[in-house]
Amino acid sequence: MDRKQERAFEKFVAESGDDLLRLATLLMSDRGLGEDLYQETLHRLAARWSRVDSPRAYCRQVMHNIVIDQLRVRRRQVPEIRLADAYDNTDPRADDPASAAELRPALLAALRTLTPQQRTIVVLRYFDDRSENDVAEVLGVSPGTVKSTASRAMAHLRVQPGLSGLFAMTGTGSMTRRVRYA
Amino acid sequence: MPEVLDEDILRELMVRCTSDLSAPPGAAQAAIRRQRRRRLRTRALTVAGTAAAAGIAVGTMASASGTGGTGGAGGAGGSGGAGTPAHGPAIRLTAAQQALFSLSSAAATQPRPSGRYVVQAEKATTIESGSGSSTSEIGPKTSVIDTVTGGGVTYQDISVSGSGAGGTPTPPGVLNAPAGSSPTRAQLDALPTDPSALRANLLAQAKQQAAQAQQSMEQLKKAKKAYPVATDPLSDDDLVFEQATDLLWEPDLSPQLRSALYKVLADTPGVTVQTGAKDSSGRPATEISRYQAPGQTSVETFEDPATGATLESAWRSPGEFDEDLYYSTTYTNTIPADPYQG
Repeated sequence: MDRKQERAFEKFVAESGDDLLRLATLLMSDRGLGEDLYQETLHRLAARWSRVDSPRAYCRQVMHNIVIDQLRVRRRQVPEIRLADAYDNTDPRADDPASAAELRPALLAALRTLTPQQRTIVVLRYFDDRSENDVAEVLGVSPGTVKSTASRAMAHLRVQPGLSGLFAMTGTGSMTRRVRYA
Repeated sequence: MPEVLDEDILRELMVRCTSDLSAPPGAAQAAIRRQRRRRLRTRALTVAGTAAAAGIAVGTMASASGTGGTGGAGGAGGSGGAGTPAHGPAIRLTAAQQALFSLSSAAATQPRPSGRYVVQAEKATTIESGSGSSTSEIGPKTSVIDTVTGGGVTYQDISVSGSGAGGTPTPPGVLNAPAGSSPTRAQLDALPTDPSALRANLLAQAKQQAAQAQQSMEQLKKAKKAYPVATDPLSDDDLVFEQATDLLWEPDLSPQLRSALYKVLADTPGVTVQTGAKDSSGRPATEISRYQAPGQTSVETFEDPATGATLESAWRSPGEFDEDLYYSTTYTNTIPADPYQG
């Protein structure tokens, strides 16, 4: 990177950093791991800055790759004790600290019960607002798989105790109407 | 009446639960700093050989190596005559200085290979330990430097570095460096080979780079694009050590320039030399380092005691370790093919 590129990189991070950190936190479903993922993603983006067309798309792809890679590593390790919720001390200056602080552990815990692919799909699809085709490209699967996996993930989240009562349609009617198992 | 879908509720939940999270300050700068370090070796010496730097007065300090006076054979200022003058033994040398002079002599007697392209087989390692996680990237690569344009190409062994790195999207196996990425042979040969003049030149370069960095930092601050990063002012000796070690791992130095660099290091207070060390691949080496304030990046470089060639350079900063290990340096007149293909 020359100085001009460094400036552009800093500008991008200043504009998109918060969003990327939030995306990373949801993908990892953990605040500390989310921060690690965010920092590592910036490192890789900086290393490739001059050859990246769309920094956002690149970050999305890198985050997915790191998530998948860490899973591979973690599978070989002894399950660790989770300190995530203890780490979660919310900034009291936030707009609506009560709801964010109360809801976050429940939401992250619910997201952690999804498979990594389900989690990535719902986060990219609904939080990052990517189309089914975009998500399919990031994950290297078909758009049909994205659709059906998202449905299954939604069905799974609806019945999570931590999120009970939050969803509008938990009845079987809506399940059969909108959840189509491919 | 539009119906509220569960997907919309989930979206709202995810947005709300993360709305109070903001990115830690300094993350962009950390990524840039790390990137700069990784590029150090191929970084152009921005003012190497320019008239401004070359015109700096000689002899800013009393040099232990002398500038030709008493016992020397004269001719230190000549345009790289075969024999660098032996330093006058008038001053009692410390063990560190002796080791550096020994490297200097070894370097001076090396032949200068011919060939337009320098081919270096190397291995780069990055180990980073962040909060709770650590990543390492290890990969063999072959760098080809075009000594005429300063451009070149780097071939990477993707099969190794890809898996170790944790998979960026298919890292390109071939990276093209534009002209000017490395100093050209002409730029390197224009540097003075008299130790005092070389020291003055390195210092002038470092100050110019620092001024440029300061200037762009100020601009960023004005545009509110940068978080202020505390930078401790570096002493002249800090700067000289940084520049000299930067330059040492340029492969295409003339024997005279490499020899002079070791003399510059011998005159720089705080330089620590460990003889009988080994590089990380086990080769016998002389290790050169220097005390750095805690929190700063420290540099270690390992030199071959027999030839004065650089075997390994390593950077250490809190939570991070970068190292380049050099296996071989050869010269050719054509760009070699990708050794990792197929």
